[in-house]
Amino acid sequence: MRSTGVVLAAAAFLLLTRPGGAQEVLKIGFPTCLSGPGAVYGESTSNAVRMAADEINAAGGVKGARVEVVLADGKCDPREAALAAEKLVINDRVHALLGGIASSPSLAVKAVAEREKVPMVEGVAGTNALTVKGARYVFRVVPNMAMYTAFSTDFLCTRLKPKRVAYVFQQTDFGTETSELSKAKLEACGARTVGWFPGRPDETNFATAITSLKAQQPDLTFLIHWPPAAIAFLRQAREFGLKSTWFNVGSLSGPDFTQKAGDLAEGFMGVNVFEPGSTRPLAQRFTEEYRRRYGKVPDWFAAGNYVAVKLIADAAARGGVSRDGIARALGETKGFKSLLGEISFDPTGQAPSVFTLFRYSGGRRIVVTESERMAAAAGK
Amino acid sequence: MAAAGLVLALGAGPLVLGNQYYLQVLVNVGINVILVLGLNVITGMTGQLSLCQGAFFGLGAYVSALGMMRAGLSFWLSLPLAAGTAAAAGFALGIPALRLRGHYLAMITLAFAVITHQVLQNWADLTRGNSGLVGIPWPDVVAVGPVEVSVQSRERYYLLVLALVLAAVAATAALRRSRLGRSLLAIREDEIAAELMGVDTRLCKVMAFSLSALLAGAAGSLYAHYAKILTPDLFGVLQSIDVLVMLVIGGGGTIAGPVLGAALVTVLPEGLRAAADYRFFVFGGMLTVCVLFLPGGLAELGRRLLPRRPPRAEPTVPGTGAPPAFRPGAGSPRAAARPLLSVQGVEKRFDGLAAVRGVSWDLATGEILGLIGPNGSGKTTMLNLVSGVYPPTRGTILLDGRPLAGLRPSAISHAGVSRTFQKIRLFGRLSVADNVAVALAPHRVPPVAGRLWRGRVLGGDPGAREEVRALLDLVGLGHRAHDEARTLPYGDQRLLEIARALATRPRVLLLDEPAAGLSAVDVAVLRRLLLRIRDAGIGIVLVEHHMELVMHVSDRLVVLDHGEKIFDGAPRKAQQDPLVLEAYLGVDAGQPVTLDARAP
Amino acid sequence: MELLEQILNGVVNGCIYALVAVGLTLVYGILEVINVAHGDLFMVGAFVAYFAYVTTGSYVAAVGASVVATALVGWVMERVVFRPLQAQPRINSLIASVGLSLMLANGALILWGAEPRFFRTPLAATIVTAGPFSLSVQRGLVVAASLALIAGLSVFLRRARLGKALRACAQDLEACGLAGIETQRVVAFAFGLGAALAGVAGALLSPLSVMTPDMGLLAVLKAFAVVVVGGFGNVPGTIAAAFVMAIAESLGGAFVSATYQDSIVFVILALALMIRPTGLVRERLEENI
Repeated sequence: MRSTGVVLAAAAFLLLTRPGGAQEVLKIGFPTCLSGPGAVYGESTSNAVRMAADEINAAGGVKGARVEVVLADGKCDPREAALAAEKLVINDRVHALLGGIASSPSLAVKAVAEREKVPMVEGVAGTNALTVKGARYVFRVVPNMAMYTAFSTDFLCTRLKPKRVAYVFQQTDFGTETSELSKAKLEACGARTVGWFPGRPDETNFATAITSLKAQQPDLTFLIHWPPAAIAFLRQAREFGLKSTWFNVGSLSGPDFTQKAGDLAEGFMGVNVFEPGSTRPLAQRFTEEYRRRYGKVPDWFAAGNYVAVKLIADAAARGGVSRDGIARALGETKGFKSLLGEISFDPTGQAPSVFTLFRYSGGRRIVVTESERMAAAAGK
Repeated sequence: MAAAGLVLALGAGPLVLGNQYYLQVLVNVGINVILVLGLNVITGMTGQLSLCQGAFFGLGAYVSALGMMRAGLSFWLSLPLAAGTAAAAGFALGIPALRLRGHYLAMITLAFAVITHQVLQNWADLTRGNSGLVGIPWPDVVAVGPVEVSVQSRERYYLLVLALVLAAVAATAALRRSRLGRSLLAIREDEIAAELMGVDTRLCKVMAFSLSALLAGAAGSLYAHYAKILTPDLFGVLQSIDVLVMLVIGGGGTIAGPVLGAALVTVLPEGLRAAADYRFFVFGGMLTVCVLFLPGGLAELGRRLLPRRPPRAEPTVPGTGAPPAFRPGAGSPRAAARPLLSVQGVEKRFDGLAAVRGVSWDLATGEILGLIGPNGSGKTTMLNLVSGVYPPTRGTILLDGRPLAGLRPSAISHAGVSRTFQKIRLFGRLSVADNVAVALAPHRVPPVAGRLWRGRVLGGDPGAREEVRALLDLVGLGHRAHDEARTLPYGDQRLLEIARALATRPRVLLLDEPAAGLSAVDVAVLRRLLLRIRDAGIGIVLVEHHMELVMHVSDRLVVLDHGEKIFDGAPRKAQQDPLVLEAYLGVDAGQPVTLDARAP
Repeated sequence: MELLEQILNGVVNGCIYALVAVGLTLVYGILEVINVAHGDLFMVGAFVAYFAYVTTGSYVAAVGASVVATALVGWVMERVVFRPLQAQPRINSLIASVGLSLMLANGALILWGAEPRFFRTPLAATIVTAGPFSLSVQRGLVVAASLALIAGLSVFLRRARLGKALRACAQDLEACGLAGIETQRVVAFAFGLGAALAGVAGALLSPLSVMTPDMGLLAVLKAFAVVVVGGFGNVPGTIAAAFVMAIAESLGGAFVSATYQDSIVFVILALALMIRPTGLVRERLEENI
């Protein structure tokens, strides 16, 4: 009797501790910007991915497997992001990576992803170079720079029709690419470039540029910087009496900027892919849930990465909890419903997207137009 | 044996452990070791503070990465190209920069560091600037005969780094033993004395700087293909400071120092990985504390804890050792047709104030000329003019008929003029033997080749050792050959200075108050030495206040007062010359008074 | 018109460079010590002023607090680190100052975080327009205060007893001691004064732009450039160099290359070193052999 008991106990023990008997974990690595000049993006994105993971787990996980998001500090810097990504891949053995938020760090993460054969889903960065032909591991659920500029210059050329345009930007993939693409498109529709001022991402003194611009009197100024530099610029511009219509693509639509810029941002126009005031049903649900959990309104960086996590989980459900399985399944994604619209990837790993153009008025962002409306108006 | 065992352990260890994390740390340590060994050459060994090692590092990194990615070069070409480009930059910067000293040199290297960083950042078309140069490949596979060399994994890259570290360590060790290395150390100890002892300090400093840059460039290449991503911020001023921190904490001037410093400074933060901010704070503290309490760094700590016993030579009776091979000037002593040294109408003004005015005198072969005068009469200025420390405002100085105008002090030294100093200028931390060895004239090989040719630059020269030995025996310091020069008693230091001056095989020897502070016994020794030197055919100019010595030893006397020559002739006559007496004693010209030869 | 405005920008920057550089050169003049941590005093001045302002609401109190705080830090640095190193080769003091700089900058990072801060004062928000010119009161204050301080410093150095002692010690520290002047106190005072000047500069400048813990680095690098061009230990030369280089930087950035604006000061430095290593005013370089 005793020996049978022992055998039974042993069997039970073996069954319970058999590999695979323990719950599987789908690990997603996120080299986000927890510190440095881009730190403003760290909080909202971290919140959103955690929320996504919780929602998936509450609904039973990925075929029984738990979703866990591992954060690392990429500092919005290419080298740090690469190191963070390597740590996530090698030490933490994640099954998939999210992007590094800003374009340059994301490119660095991409290099790691491709080298280590880990699938990566980008939820923010726009550089064209991220999703190119032949990239088997990198996917993006938000627009690339070509799409952004097509949309924004479309709007500018048809509605605002600027004559003199200036560019004040950070000399990174994000800033340089946006400015160069926009410049090409705007010059094509009759605008003249009257100012070209590349600077460091942590630039603080714009006196020389502003004084030059005062002489040039641009009616539209692209301000492609992160919030700290942008706010310094706006303050100094006001101080020196420089007036223009400010325009931004992507980097200045967080609550942080709204708060710190205050009335400096009055009249500022920008483009992103998601606004809390959006009427799309999935977007509304996301906004409400985020607000309930964190007491704040989410920004589009949060939205993009939220979608990325949900998509990875979906891919794992289809292809299995493994790097190759997820990569394959991602490539085969068709019509995945998200708050950013329906996602299918073209051969370069890029999904189509929706846009929102907003303006700051009275301390809040007001939606001026959305891409669906514009498309409808143009009869597309 | 121990070294070989250590190498094996380093080589095999990580591979056996198979831990990626440790491998990464070790690779970084290795790259930093090479970087610091580089800085060690210019700052630790040569004593010139360079704050742009990080810039050369960056230059090498980008050249190597772009070489592979844009120019399609093989890594095995990119690496030497990176090192060579950095060395060339070091050479180009060194030539103007190393004319400056101390703080000015530090400033210009700092400016170079900042400008390089800005260029890397802003020349985005080439370097991609702040966006970062991404996707740098592993080294390519190359076929060496039948074998394929592939360094495309972390483990193998570690071995590559290890190999290069060992090469760098070996090269540094060879440098230290070589003539160039000794010259660099001498420059660190006393640059002016080194120059006057025949070391071309300008060339040596530039070479040291280029070597530093070379090593940094190589390290940069290794870094680029390992990290696979470069951003300009990695190569700014902070990086240069980082390298300096490693050097100081480890201890400059040695070989163990850079290795220890690099290892410690690289490994420590890995333990504090999570709190990267604290890392620099801790290092700041370590650096300050280190400088305050342990300027020699860890290496000095090691030296204090493990004293080495230097080999001791047998003592010799002073002055009876075998005479060195003096090569006297052309012809026999005192028989030359024209004077050995001729000073003609020389004047020297400092900011309008004339220190020396219209002075002329001659020195014959094998003659001792006493040059005396009250304080401030221009004696030391005279010696400085002859040895080339500064040029005369007017007048000419001829050595064997050849004008010395415009020559560097080291060139004048090679021509045959050597000297000692009023305030002793030995190479304090070098050994007694090395002090003499630095000054050894490269007579076996033509000068240019002698500086560059491997055999003489890097190799040991047995003939040289004998000559050093003979010179030390001449002054009675053979038994202290391996002691540090600064540990010698005062009198012996003066003798060492003379031995060192003789190592250049001079034809004219300028002595600036060699008897100052010597006891009567030492003065007697000095006197015998001077006579021996004279008898070997060397002309001596003796500036002295010790009247007895001067009177007994000089063949002729020149007296200066307020920068002008007031007497030139036999020593006995000087004792009665009214002008001389007035200058020294302020006595009326009319009253003849015998100058007591025994007066102090 | 734009030319004039850019020159004005240069003047404003020149004031800041002058304040920071003068402190650096004062210390060098006496001790022959290059203090790399000087830039971090600039940063400390800014942060102390910020926190003081947030607490008290008074900008005057804020500036006062920053002066006191930085003078104190400067004094401590001299006492604890530089004084013991006076006997050692000067390179050791330089390296120790690097250590101090690392501690200050990273201490600030640990205490206050890396996020850039905005120092909002009413003076910075009040804008005065005169025709096409437009300036915040703060910017005007920077110029006015700097010029006042510089003038005050010149008078002090020439008339006041302590100021004359400072100049004497800068010429020959040993002779000073022999003449009966308490050199250690003069040295400590010079350090404190230099530090306070840097701190004031930080407090004045920060409302105009953004504050980060590493803002000291670029400040000290530029200050070095100014000091070298103006001449180590030469106060009038340093002040002149500060304005010349700041205006050159402003004009260069506007009309030559916006991208390389930050390099201009260093290119001038490099050129100055190649051509005239002793700076704008000549200095005797002969060594005593």
